[in-house]
Amino acid sequence: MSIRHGLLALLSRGPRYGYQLRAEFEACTGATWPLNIGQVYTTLSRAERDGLVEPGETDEQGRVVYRITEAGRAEVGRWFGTPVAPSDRPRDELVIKLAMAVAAHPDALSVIQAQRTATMRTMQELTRAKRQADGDLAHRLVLDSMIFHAEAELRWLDHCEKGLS
Amino acid sequence: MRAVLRLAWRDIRRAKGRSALIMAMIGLPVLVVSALLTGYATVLVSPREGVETSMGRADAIVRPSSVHGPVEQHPLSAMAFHLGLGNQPPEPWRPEEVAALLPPGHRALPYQVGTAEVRLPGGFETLDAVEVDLRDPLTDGMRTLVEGRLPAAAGEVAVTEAVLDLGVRLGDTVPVTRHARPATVVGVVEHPQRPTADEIVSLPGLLLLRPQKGEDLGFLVDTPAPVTWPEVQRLNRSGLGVLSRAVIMDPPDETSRSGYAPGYALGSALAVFMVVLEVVLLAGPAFTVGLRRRRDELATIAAQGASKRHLRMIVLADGLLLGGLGAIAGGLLGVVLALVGTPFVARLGTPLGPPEVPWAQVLAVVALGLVSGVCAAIAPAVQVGRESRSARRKAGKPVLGVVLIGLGLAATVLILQGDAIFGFGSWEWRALTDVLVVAASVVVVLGVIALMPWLVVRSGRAARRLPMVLRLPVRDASRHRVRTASAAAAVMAVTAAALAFAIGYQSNHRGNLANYRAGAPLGMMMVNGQHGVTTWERVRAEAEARLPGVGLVPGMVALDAEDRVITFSMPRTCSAGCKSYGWHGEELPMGDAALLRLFQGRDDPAAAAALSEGKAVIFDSGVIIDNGTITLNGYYRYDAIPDPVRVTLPAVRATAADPAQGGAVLPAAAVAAASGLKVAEARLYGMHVPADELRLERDLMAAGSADLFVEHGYPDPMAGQLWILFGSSLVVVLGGTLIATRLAAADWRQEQATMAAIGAGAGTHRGMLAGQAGFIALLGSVAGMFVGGVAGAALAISLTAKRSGSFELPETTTFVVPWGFTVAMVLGLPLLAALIAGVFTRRPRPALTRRAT
Amino acid sequence: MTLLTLESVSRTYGEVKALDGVDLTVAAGELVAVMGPSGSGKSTLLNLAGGLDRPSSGTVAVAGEDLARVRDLAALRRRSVGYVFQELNLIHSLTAVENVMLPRELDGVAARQARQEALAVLDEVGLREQAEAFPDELSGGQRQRVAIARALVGERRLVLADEPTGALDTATGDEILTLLRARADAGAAVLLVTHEPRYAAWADRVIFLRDGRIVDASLLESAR
Repeated sequence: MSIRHGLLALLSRGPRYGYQLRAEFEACTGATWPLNIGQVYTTLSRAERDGLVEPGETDEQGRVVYRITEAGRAEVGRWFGTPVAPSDRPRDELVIKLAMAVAAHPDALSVIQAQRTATMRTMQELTRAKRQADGDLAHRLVLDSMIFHAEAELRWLDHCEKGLS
Repeated sequence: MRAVLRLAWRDIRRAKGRSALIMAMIGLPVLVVSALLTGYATVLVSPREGVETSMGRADAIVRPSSVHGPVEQHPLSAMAFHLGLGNQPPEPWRPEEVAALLPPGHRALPYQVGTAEVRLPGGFETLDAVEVDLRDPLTDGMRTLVEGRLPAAAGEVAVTEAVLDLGVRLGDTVPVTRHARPATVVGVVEHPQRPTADEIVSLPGLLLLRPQKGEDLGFLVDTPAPVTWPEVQRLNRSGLGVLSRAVIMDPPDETSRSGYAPGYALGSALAVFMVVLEVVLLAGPAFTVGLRRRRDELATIAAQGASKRHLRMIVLADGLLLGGLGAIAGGLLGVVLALVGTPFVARLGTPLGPPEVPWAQVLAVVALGLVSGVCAAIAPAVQVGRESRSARRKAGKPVLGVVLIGLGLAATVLILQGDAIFGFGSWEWRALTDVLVVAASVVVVLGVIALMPWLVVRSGRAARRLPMVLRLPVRDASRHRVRTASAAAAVMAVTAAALAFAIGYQSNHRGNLANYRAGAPLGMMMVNGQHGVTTWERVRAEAEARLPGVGLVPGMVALDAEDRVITFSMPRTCSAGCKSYGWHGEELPMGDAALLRLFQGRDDPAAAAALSEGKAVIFDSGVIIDNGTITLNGYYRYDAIPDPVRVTLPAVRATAADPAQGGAVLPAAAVAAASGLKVAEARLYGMHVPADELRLERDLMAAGSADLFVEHGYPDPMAGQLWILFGSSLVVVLGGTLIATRLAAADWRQEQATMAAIGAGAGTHRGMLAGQAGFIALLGSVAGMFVGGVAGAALAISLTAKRSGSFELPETTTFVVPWGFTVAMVLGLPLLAALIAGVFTRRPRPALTRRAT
Repeated sequence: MTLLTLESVSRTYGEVKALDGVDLTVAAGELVAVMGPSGSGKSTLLNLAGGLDRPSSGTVAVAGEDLARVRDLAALRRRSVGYVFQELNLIHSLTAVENVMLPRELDGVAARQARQEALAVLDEVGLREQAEAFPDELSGGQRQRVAIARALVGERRLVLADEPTGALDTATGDEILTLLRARADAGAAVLLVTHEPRYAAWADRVIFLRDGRIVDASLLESAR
């Protein structure tokens, strides 16, 4: 769902070609959420079917410009106005895995330590990326969110470890 | 309130070292003063305590004065002073005259005291002599018989134990007085209050030569009714001095009359104030440190709802407890020390009264100690109420400081010019000026104390230019304003006081020295035969035997028809300020050219010629030679016959051997001719200082009644003074500085860990503390130097004025700055303090990072 | 070039083994973080690295020199190693520049030259303006920056930082880490002890200590 809403949000800035939308989406999310062009067009045609976007002219290469409709704008507004509920978030694979480890794995501690190292590395990468992204605020905030998440994960891992020992 | 005290008590127990230190600082002065007061009170035999010893069972001691007219006396003494001029010839009293004045129905027992020469196996000794019939019941309690029996007939004496120690035994016969009258020792007595006294007691008429100057007759009197003070005053009007038992027991209110009282009281008050001030300055920082340690505890208490007032009270309670405990402990210990120690001290010869503790005075001292403790805690207590960071608060009260300094200086100038206000010649004013000058200086000292925090901060800022080794201590010291300013102020006060007194008294002494006129060159000895020619040959032989190889020159004295010695002295008129003479300035040597050469230290043909022509050779440049002649007064040297003889001689001036020498040499023949007296040899002079003067004098006395005098110059009581001043300053300066340094070390501990982490070596820690000690002491000593210099100058001026009787200053004032002493105090002590602090710092504990995990 | 090497280092205090067989290297240009709960031996590690303490066994080498053979460890701290602590880093009675000058002056450098060097380093950390301020007048972050400047003055390359962000808020903490990172990029070797993952994430390598032992290490590979 979020891809659709993300594209709609980008379209609300102005009409775009599909490939342009893809580039902007990736730029905004810091290439952390790569999209392939097929996904984009599929999402756009579904959105068009739902009346949220409408196609415009076709250029000499056959590429279509898309425009957001009033319904589309309303949908974007609604999306922004509604906080994300916990049940809407994707299930955390890590949590499930850890719970299983604690219940079933003989050496849960090593599982924790291995995950911690990996998460830490992720955080290091994110931090470096953030340093290098002097770019726009949106990009950095996305990175920050991931950093915070990783931090929370690490804290939780420490907590698990304490619980086990 | 109880909770507050409990908290304070607990904190004291926790910080034992610091608490002990503060208690010691407060308790020590209290201990010393209590001990002194108790000792003094015990040793002092008040007239009331001594009444039995002095007059047995009698109601009064009556002493006729030297005249039959009105006299004045102190209620507690029997010495009466004639109110008029002092030069009238004495009018001897007869016993009937005295009896006529006393109330009817009285009984009078002759009673006299004085000194008597006794020839003992070891030589001549001068003993205290009492002439009274100890068998008479009126004398009960005056002496106790220890052995033998009391003298019952003429020629019998009793002595005290101390005399036995000189080689006399019970039953011996010893010659007494110059006339060598035989006296048989029949008993041993004891003086109840002075067990170590050496005394000889006999019936009237044996021991004392009559007439002694002023102590003619004396009586123990038993009257039907007690002799009251009005009765004493009545007898005074007729010329009798009376010491009455009734007056001793119940003195009239005027007994505290004394010209010195106001000055003495002010001086004591100032001394007490300064001691309290020093204690407060030294103990204050210790309280502050304790405060910092309890900050968390206090914060917790504050969070529980205590107001700022409560917090302040907690800190003051600290001061109250520590001050109180220290003072009480000090007071009790001092009293005990004195009570235990005085019997030992009394062996040295002071009288011993019953153990007496002046409780009122001791309590006052203890209270003062308590007050000091509370005062020392006030500054930290005020600080705890104010939570603001000290960094930006205005440093001290510089304005107040400057004002006080100005006031003090102005007051000093005013005092020194005070004769204009109080009238020159007012003796009481002059007696007060030096104390007042000290008081004004105390005001200046207070001003500098108020200024000190500002000075400390300024030095901190100025430290920018210093190399790191010095910058660091100075900056740290100036950051901890309270303890640094306190310690520096303590050092300043002591330095100022020591310098002021050193300069003042040394200057005065130099002035005195300049004024002193010796009668003889330094190092001259004189043998004076007291009896003219009768025993002179023996004396001369003895002297020559005892002093082989010393060139002794004979001198003459004049003798009257009865062979009584008359000597001549300088006239009293002086041109520029009367100079004072050493003892022998009263007698001018009479002799020939050999004597003249001795007194001039060289050959002076002109003076020798003048002398042989019958002219007096005058050395004293202050004496007026009127028309080439001089008039000399002659007095009976050893007898109390008042009429002087006058002689006029031609005179010339000459210079003597020493610049400080005055006097003259008289031509014997001319004096004889001019006065009609005969002259004979009775003196020996020589330039020699005997190794054992006392021994030689005793030998001479034994040979035939002669005494010995050696011209040592102006006595210098000041020699030890500088050392005492330096010693006591050293103790306070070092003590105060080291206390502050100890506090600095505690404060610095944390930053020392940082220093170690950035690579400071072990020496840096020592250097840091040594630097602080030196800085504090130097700041204090330099400030003290300025204050002390000014105060010392003012003191010198006022002391000189007191002596010379005029305020024509400062041209007539000698200023002496004891430079060695000053340098030692201002530079030497800070260096010493820095050295000691550096040497005695403990190695810093191995510095690790703050959390050891 | 490796500036700090710990080989099989152990430190025992009586019964307690604070560090057990720790191997660690920090090279110039590297920022290494050490993480662990309290009691894990982090501060002991830092004390040993700078010569404030001696290991019970194993070797500690700074710039190739075995500390056991160095007689004047204080000189080491003046010239080769700089410490930054969580707080109380600075001497309160000295100004910022005087604080930074301190190691140089302790080493015998003349005041004027030391001052120049100090001002240069203060410039690099962005505090030139505050050179004459006293620590009391600076914010927490500024104080830490002065401490870092002091750790770097002179020829020093190895910075040992013990929870430098502990007393600071997040934004200021980030500033400090940015500065440390920048110094590392400029060639310093930084050993950072922290319990905050977000700050450890700035490092090239993160080492986890547990009960005195290294349990895992997260190395950020890939070229810069």
